[in-house]
Amino acid sequence: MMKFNTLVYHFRQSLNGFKRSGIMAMATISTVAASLMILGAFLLFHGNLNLLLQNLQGQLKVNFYLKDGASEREISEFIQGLKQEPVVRDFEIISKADALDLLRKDLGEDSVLLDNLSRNPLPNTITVTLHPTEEIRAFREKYAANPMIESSSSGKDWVEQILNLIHLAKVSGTFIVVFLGLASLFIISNTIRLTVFARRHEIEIMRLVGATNWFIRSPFLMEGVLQGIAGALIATLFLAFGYGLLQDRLLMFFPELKLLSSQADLIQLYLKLFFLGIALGLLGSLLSLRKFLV
Amino acid sequence: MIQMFQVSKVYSNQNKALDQINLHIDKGEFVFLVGPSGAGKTTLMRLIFRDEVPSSGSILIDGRNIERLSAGAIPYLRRSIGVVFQDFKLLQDKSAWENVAFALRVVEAPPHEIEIRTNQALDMMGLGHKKHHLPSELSGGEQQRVCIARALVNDPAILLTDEPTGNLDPELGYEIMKVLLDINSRGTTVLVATHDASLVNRLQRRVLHLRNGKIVKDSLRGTYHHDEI
Ligand SMILES: Nc1ncnc2c1ncn2[C@@H]1O[C@H](COP(=O)(O)OP(=O)(O)OP(=O)(O)O)[C@@H](O)[C@H]1O
Ligand SMILES: [Mg+2]
Repeated sequence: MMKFNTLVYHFRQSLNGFKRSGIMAMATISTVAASLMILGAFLLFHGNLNLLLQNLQGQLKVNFYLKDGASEREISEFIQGLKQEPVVRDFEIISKADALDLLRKDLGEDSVLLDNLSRNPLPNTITVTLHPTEEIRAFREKYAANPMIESSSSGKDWVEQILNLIHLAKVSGTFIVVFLGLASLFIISNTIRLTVFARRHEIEIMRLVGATNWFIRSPFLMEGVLQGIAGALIATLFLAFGYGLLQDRLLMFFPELKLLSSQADLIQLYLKLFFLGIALGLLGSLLSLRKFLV
Repeated sequence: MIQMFQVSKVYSNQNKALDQINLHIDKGEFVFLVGPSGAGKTTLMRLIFRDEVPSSGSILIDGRNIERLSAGAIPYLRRSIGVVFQDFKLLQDKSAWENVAFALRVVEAPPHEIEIRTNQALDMMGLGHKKHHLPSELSGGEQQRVCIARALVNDPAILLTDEPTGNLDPELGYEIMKVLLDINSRGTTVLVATHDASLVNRLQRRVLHLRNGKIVKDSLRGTYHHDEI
């Protein structure tokens, strides 16, 4: 275990390295900050869409209309299948008669129109409520393929569109975040490489007098981590400020909008960015040290 | 203390720097390593502190075979060997004191010990009054003594000095030699690579002659003349 005094010494060295690499260090921190900011923005966007989804839960319904000839056995097999599905939150079976009663109630005075029917034209219906998922359509198609199902319907179209949007955000977000993460790694490792180069005489002497490899690496690792932390702090500041502003604006125009705003959620998100910054710094400097100090 | 068996060193460019060296240096000896430029003096020293590994043969330091040392163990070998180079290798932006203390920081000595031992080493080299000077504010001889102080501050069993008097005038060179003898008299094994025949002859110590990577003469109270052999 490294001694405290040594840590302090390394910390001073890495601060010096910071100063020495000047503009490069600034560029590095900016890149990290930009990457984390964009990542954070995505996380916020995603979090808000998910929140929206929570509020849409009631809308996530799929109705399956059964053919009249469906047997008890077919229906119970269908229900067994539903029970196995993790996305299914709840389901309800509405018989022809119940459906007619419901319709009668809905129609009120106009229900006299129904009195002339010779037979009940409404189908037996199974109504399934789903957990939030992007797979509504897939789910519906899978079960609608059952031969005893006459037809099916699901909630409003825009629910599905939001779900698609979430999916798109996830995919493109992952791409962009990975790309920016790599860019950050690259630039951090480059900056550290410059510092290593500037301190090559010192490193040579360290080896000469018996410094362990970890002792030699420590200040560079710390420098990388400091850059990561600085980037994360800047990103968090900007995000917190920007999101606060955006929230105010949006609520001004859409007062009923429910936005991600609980302190706990936001702090958790910023902590994620913070640790990601540390990880980027550590990994970036390790990358450059791998080349220089075997 | 230092033993070599059939040690050869061939550099990547096929330069054969050392050829079948057999060598035995006891604890507490003072040994000059002489020979023309390119004879392999520096290479021999670099093998001892494992800056290089031999192409064949084996080297024992204090009874331990050092080619089989793991990467993690190498720093600890180096802590028992002080090294002084002709080109000083001092950190230009640090004071004499910081340069010496550096060797102790690296081995994570406690601060009060760094304080005491650094001052002791500088005092011993007669530099107590110049400890806050930067290398650029010191003479060649003084810089060399800072290097020796740095090499000694960890109290190594072996001191390797490569041309310690190379760019000093003869009197200063002799002063440095006296310092090395003094260190040797306290029990440290000292190895000095040098071109300086007059110093070697004046001190009458063991002399190892190297030529083309081979030991051509090993004399106990030796002399050295550039034209000999
Ligand atoms: N890193 C290296 N790569 C390739 N060849 C080398 C290397 N170091 C030394 N040599 C070669 O090995 C031979 C011995 O070199 P070495 O430096 O040991 O000689 P030396 O006796 O110290 O010479 P000098 O008195 O000039 O310092 C020389 O021929 C030199 O060119
Ligand atoms: Mg040499």
